[in-house]
Amino acid sequence: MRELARFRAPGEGQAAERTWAVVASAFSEREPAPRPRRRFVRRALALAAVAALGAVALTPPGRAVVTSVRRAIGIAPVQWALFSLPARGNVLAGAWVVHADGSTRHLGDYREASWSPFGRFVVAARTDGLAALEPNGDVRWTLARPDVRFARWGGGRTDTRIAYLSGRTLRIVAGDGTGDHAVGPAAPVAPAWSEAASAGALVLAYADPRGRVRAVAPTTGRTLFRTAPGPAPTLLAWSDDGSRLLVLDPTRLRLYADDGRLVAAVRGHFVDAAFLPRSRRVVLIRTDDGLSVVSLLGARRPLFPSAGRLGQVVPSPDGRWLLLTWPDADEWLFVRLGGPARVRAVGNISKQLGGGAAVEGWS
Amino acid sequence: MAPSGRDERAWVRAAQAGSRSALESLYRAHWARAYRAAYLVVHDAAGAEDIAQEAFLAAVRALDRFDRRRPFGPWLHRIVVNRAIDWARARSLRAEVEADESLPAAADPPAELPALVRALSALPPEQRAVIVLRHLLEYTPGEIAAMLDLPRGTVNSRLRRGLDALAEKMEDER
Repeated sequence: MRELARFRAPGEGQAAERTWAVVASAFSEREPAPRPRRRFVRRALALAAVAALGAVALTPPGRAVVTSVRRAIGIAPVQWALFSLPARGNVLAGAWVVHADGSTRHLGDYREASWSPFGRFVVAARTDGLAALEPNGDVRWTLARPDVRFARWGGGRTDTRIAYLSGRTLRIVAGDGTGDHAVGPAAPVAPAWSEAASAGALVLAYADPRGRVRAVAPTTGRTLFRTAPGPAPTLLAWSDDGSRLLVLDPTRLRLYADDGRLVAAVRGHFVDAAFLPRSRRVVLIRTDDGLSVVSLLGARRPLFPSAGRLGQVVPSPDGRWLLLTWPDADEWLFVRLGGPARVRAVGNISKQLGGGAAVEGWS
Repeated sequence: MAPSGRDERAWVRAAQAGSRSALESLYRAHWARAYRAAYLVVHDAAGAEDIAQEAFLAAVRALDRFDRRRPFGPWLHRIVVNRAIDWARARSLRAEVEADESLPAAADPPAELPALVRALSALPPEQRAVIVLRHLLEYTPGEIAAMLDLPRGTVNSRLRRGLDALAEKMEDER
């Protein structure tokens, strides 16, 4: 048995460093221990109720239970139409724009769309091309390319670029529709733009076909960093200050600094994640034994456990609300961050927005 | 080597006050034994890393509530070993339902591992856990019973059966 005391497990040293990066990150983001408050009890009740809602949401008797439980604990019943957003800004869902007052506009026959950096324009994709639009649907320019997906518009006041996939090739075009060119082969995930603080210029992150994430400066063509090959990411996102890159794949969440240093890595089954505006904090949806749990990375308590399968998490522009999509129940949930627990649920999303399209952003 | 109780209490107190270097001292002092214990129960490096990482994250989350008069090691090892048992059980269940998929075989540990470690991998996870707690982490049967929430007699019988089975396996290998 003395052999056990001398035993060194495989990969011990590297595992220690990887885990320390994660533990140190969680430590730096931990919150001070809260004192018990009545508010906590109310929130716990609210969260428990929402978990119950998920379990029964799909059947008519279930709907009745949902309504009664919601009433009993003070959560508003499901609104069957989207009358307004709880915060300023406009939501882009598929080819629909939802304004803060609840009014909607269909941009046209596009498969997906996303906002320009200041939310003044929209870039929309269809199978045979790319289009830059006004938020009212007026077309500013179009570009014919095959099988266009994942168009993302980045840049500042004077220089904007649009990165998109045409088939399996990443391409970039200037914001005025000129200078379209190929960058290279890419995996099917939306590229992400940043004005990285240390580079002082536009930086684009994308995944190549081997699952490596590359950060490049399109103006110089320089590769700033490249990660090791791995599973294809499902999400790439920069923090607003450009100092952190979030990379999500089905089993891992990784955070990189803008110099390519891995600053956190967490294993789990992740569905979606996003940076809170003007923050390095990450809000995420993970699944755990069939439950969807919404939490802040490194935080002690979940923000929102649900027995339903949540799809996306999108923070409001002021960072005070989260929009959670709940495709199985055909609902959007608006959950307030901080303060007393408050959940607003809006149903009939697919009927209102032509098929329940994915939310592309709240800007 | 386990840190002195005095050092450990000082690190916990400083970490509770926000000292990252104190947390790192605590982490460095406990990482290797936590990871090895997890590895010896699950016999999978990635699984052991996940389990040890989860245990340390649980420690960070519970830091403010941690009673610093209590030793940190047993609290951490309790989490590690219980999660490792759950992991190993879940894996064996998965292997049954996904028999056509080529899971990395827990039953075939790498040849470069010591004979005792390879023999240990053939035992049920519950027996592996008590042997690891007794002979790697050096807890008494009474302490192990408390950590695993088992009667002391069950711990003793698992130890006895596990060691007998290990001796047989080692004999077979010679």
